[in-house]
Amino acid sequence: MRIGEEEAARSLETMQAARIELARRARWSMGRHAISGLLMGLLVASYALPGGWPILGVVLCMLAVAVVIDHDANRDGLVVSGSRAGPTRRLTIGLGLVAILALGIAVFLRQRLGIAWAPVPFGVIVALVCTAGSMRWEQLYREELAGVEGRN
Amino acid sequence: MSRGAIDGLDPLIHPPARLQLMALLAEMTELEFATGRDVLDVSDSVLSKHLSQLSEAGYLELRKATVNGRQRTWISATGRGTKAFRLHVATLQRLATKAGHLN
Repeated sequence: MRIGEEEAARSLETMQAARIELARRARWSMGRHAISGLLMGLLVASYALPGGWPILGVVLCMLAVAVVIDHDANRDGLVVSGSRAGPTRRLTIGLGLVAILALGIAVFLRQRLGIAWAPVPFGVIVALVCTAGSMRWEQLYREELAGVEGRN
Repeated sequence: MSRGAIDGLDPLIHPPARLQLMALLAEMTELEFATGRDVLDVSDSVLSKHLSQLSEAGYLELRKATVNGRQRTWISATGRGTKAFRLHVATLQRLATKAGHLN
């Protein structure tokens, strides 16, 4: 295939226009970010429940996540993976680590020190961190789409 | 302006609408047909034609799903398509950089 330098530059501009249009559409409401954070927080806080109830809490949270993803897909007409390559992946991993660390401390406090309610404040912290993280994730995604000429 | 055969450029991806479509799919898991049509600003028939040619080449996969009684088509890039797209873009960038259009 033969093309010139000018045509190559024009092709890249055309491609970038589509990415910018996608960036314009890739917006989620504050409520949607809050739901993401809330579900992560509930996942941690559910360990405050007695007996086998935490397992039910985890299952319900996972089901709710699936419903939210399905709802997003049908409303927006696109599915973006939280673990997609790029700066957003580092943030996703970071948020996951925060949740795991919080859960670990909460379970330790509950089981070793007998503080049964410990998972609740840690769940609140995770909910707030993950809500903020979700908003930052969207911002990073849009910046990447609007500012880079394609990842290689 | 010099012109020459360039390794890495893919004639199947090069048309603007297909390049744009592959660029969108590189950034997501799946794209719904109507959303793709709106973002690319093309008609249903034009997008269908592009999808047909790209899926025949193994660059795309199409999935039909019924939601609330309406059938929707979901588009995703295959590994082969993503690889071809990235190589194509890298080649375009090399060409454009050589000509001083990019830094």
